[in-house]
Amino acid sequence: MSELNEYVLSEELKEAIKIAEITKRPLLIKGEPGTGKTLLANFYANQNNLPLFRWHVKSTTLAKDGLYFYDALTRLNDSRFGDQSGRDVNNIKDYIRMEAMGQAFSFDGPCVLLIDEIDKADIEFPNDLLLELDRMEFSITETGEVIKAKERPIVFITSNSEKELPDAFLRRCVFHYISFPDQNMMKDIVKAHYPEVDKSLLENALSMFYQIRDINELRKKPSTSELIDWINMLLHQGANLKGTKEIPFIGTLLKSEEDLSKFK
Amino acid sequence: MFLDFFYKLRSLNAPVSTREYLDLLNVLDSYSKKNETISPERFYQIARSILIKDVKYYDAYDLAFSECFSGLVSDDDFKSKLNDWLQNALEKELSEERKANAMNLPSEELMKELQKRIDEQKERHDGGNKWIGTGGTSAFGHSGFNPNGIRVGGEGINKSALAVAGRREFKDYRTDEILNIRQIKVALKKLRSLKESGRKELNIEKSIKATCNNAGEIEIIETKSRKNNLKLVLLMDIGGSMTPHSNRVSQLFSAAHQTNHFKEFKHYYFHNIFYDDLYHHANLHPDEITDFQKLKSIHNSDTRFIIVGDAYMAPYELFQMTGSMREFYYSFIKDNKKSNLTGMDRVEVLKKLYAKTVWLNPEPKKLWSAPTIKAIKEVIPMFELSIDGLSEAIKELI
Repeated sequence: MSELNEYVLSEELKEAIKIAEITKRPLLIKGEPGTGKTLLANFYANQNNLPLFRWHVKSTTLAKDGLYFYDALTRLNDSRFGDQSGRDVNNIKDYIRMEAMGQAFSFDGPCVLLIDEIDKADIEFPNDLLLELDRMEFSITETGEVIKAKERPIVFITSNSEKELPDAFLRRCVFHYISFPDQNMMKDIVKAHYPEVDKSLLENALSMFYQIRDINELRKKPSTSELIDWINMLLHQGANLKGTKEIPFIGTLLKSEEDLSKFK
Repeated sequence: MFLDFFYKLRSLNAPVSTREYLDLLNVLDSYSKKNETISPERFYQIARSILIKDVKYYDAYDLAFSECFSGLVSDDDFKSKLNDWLQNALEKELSEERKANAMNLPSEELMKELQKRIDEQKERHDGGNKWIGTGGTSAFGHSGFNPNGIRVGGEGINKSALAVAGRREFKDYRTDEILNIRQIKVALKKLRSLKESGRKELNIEKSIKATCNNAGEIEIIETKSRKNNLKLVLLMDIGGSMTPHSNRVSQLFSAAHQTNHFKEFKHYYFHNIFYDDLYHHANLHPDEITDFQKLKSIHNSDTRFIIVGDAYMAPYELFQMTGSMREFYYSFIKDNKKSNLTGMDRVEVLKKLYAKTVWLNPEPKKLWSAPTIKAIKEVIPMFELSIDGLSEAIKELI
């Protein structure tokens, strides 16, 4: 994946990952939207050649949803109409399907597990995962089978701070806050995406970008991913930003009408 | 010194526990085994990742860091401090941890582990084996915690950890005031009346049972899921004697606002007591209002009302008509409506319309002696605006 070669890892984040590896604890990542929280797991898995299991949490997600799914309906159907699929109705195991966390725990060898946007779910959701994350094991109620990770997977958890996470959960994590990249770091990031970008264009674009970000009244400040889109746009249209007072294609940077109106 | 740092963090309200402390030792140990040098900058990063779990505590971390690791006069000074720590660590950890944190009391296992680690370190130290870093002279060898070791503007791009800590870049993320929102939210979660509603969905468990009872002939059972049917209105007193309490009121408000399990949530503002109009915004703008008389057409009688206010005002404001100058003024310039009700009348009207109404008072109970408070308390059950009071109030509402 090309996008992964463009991921720029800060020293601080590297250190945090290392600590997560040593302590075998999940790495909880927070940060402004668009700072590459989710991408990190992809990048890490890719770099270390490890399989990645993704669990995207939604508002209705329950802790059990990430472990396994018992497909009672198919079983019922098979028992009624017979099956040609090779599933054995008498064997309940044929109807148990592992979900992301279950897959990671039953995987033979090291792997990466991403629990994305954990704060989206109910406020008690992280508490329901404490035991599973602590011991890296769970049991399947239907069969009594215990799934236990032979090797503790590296777990990345991202959060947008929509809800407070419970203390008991936090105690079990290593935490890193991805702060917004400074100008130098940002230069590296843009260059990783567009190696051919003209130096003066980049300077101008970045200074404009950080000026916009400095406006405190904005409802949503533009983030890295918006900057990347914007620079892509500028490159495509051959804009050079020299002596321009107006910001071209500002719609790629600011997404809310209220923010846009401040520039009109 | 590590422990001082640890307790400094605790005293600055950063929730660090024994578990994190052990993790930190574990990581430092593992680094030292790999013979990796730990500069102060690096230690700053490592300890922060392990000890601090929310960006709102980063500032407390910076403060504790610069306080604990600056101002060490000499190498010897530093060394003796470490020795003291090693000798006292266990007793101190046991007693203070227990006192400070009865809830998070570590299990026996953790305690044993802690003792083991501390013993281990002592051996390493006594044996002259370097624990971390170079030189082998100091127990922890973290070459940077004496002034000589801190390389301000040292190698390459390394920033001095102290300089970073001193800059306090995370000051803006402090949100001490929202620390309790979670507690409030959890309390509010109890506020629900479940009703079956919405589309019917396949109930697998019941279907299987029915099918079995039916000797294998498939029987599909559908049920409606249960949803919270509770409607909540928050009425908030604002300004004047309420100003000192605005923090707690806004906590309650944001918690209720973020708790999206209510079927309906509305809020209004008033000043001292409700008059003809309830305001939509905290600035009490006279253009965005709801007529008190119309409440009953907007909210069903099963709606729960939580009123937040100190119920403290001049008696005439509650018991006489045209009590407040402000209200009088606006009703005068509008010249359209004038209900013949006093503030107290409206309190009674509201309670009659909505049986499930409670009053939360931010003032402590012992100060509830003013006549206006007493009068209102007679009609609407009053509770303190605290987590406990809120829980009691919620019992009243269900």
